[in-house]
Amino acid sequence: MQNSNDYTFLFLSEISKEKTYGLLYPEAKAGLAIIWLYERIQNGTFQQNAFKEKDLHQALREVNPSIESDKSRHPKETYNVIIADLQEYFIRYDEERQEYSFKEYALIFCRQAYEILKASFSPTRIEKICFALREKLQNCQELESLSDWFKLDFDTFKPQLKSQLDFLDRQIDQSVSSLRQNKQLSFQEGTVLETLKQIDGRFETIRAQNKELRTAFKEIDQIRRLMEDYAAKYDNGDLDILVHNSVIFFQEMRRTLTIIDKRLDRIQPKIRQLFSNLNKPLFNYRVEKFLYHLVENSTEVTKGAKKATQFPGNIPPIAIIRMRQDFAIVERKTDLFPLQAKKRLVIPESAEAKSKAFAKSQNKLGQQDEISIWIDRIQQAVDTDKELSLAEYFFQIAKPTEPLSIMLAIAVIYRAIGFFERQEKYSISINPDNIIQNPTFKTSLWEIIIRRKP
Amino acid sequence: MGNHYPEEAITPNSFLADSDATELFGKIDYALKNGKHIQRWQEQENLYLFIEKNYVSLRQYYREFFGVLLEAAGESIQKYFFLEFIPDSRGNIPIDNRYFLPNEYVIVGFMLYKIIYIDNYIELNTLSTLQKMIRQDYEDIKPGIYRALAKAKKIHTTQMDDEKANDVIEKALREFARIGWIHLDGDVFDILPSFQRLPKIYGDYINDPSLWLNKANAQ
Repeated sequence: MQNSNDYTFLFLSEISKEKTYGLLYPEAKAGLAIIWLYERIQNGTFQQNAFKEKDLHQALREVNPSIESDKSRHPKETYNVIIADLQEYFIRYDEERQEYSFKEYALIFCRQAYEILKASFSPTRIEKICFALREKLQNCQELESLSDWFKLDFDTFKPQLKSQLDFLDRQIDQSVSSLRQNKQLSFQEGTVLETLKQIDGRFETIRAQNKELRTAFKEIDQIRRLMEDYAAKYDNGDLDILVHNSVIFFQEMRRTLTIIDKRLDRIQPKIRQLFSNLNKPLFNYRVEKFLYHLVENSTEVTKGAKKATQFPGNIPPIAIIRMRQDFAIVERKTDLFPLQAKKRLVIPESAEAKSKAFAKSQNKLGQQDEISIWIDRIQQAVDTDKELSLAEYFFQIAKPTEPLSIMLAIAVIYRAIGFFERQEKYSISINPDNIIQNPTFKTSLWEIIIRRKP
Repeated sequence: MGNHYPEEAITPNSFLADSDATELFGKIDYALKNGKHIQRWQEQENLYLFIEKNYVSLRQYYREFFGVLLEAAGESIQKYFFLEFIPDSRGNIPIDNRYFLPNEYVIVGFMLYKIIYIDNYIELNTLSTLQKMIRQDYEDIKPGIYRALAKAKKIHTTQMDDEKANDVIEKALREFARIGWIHLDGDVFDILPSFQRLPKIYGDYINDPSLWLNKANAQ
């Protein structure tokens, strides 16, 4: 069975029922009369804020001159129906005194509209409210007072802040649309310039107000920090939700403020450009004529496979400088170009070349043999004599008329030096001061002595 | 402009002595030679200031070495720089270094100009809204617009024609962004001062309608 607590309130279906919506938001003729009365209640015209039916009639008459002028109808009949409807949410009838007074909804209805439309924007007021809110929040000593602060103080503040931002946004809308309407005045320079100046001034004001509101947000940042501190201190689920929702609300407000800023950023420079454009209404008129001429008289031509538009007459296209300055980077991509096997070099063989090459290598081999023979011979000599002069062997091997023998002699000397140096039982001493010469050679050598260690 | 050095001492390479040249000149050179217009706008600010400071020298440089003119137009904060052909010498610039803006884009440009500066829709700042406005809000010239942009010759237009027109408008805006007339970021665009060059280019024709009126009548 359904519990009464489970009943959910469906706002939309509720307000859609019968005449509910119409009664909550009456037509202008009734709504304006309510405003008319509200103003008089505010300035104390009615004693004890109560009014008579004749006042209601007067209100309806003042705000709806058209009903009054319509002689064929009986306005009083119309009024009667309206007044009966208004009794649902707006006014209360005291039968005893035959007096009417406002219901709470009527007051909210009027106050809200008043706040929203009121041109006096007061960010300083917001700042003051923020300041008071913060003070109060700071002094909250326990969880209970904290949740009171959220439900009573903070919730009343939210719509106020929101309406200030909405107000700024609407100001921009109005300025922009009045600018557009002025298009018709384009040729009366004086008027347009005046309007434009006015609108530009209005944007300046909006920007200043936006800035002031931003200052008020500093206070809000403090509130936010306090809230977060409390949330950490109490670690309470309900409080966490309240804090979280407030943080989201602040973020949303900040975003709105930024959006307003951006709108101003976008619009203002264009207004400045309109100023300079204003001096040339004739030019603008001609731009339009020129554009229409282009649109109406351009023809289609086929360029290659493409269709292109050609301007009428000899009106040229726009040529723009575009100097090619692409850097061509030449690079061999190994993945695209794998290394290819090199072609084998084939040399045709001939018997003559073959034997020549053979002789050459034979010669080298022979030389190697001869070197070894000489080294052996030198070693035997050292072993026997304990000491010998290597330079003298040079002149034994080399023959002045045979270059090959000189090569062999040099090779033997080098090899011998290396050979004996590597072995511990021999020592080599080179003496640059003692130069060995041979009359048949131009070459001379330093004295090189090999000794066998005892 | 360029009065940071004594006039007689300015040469086509004086600007290279500027301490910012290393960082900025390469960017400026690329931009200008790609047909870009440079104005005081966000990331272009530094480039703009460098040109402003070294205008005389840079002008000599481009004229002497490339045979083109570094031009300035617009007043105060609306000022912008760009490279222009020396009048009547267009033939001397190799064809590779010239680029013709398709005429469809010129028409889109003038439509944009009209919507914002003549009809005062100053809040217009998205490509999608511009596409919609050009397609829907100008009944009087609609057939002409569709003929020029979508190559549609019929009385009734189709979804395909709409798409073609949208496509041309988008491409035009991309091209305008490339040459620095507007700043385009996704769907959102901002008109930059150099956009004013469009009516300036056709200034002769606009100010003297007889140039084209007679021709049109004679045809």
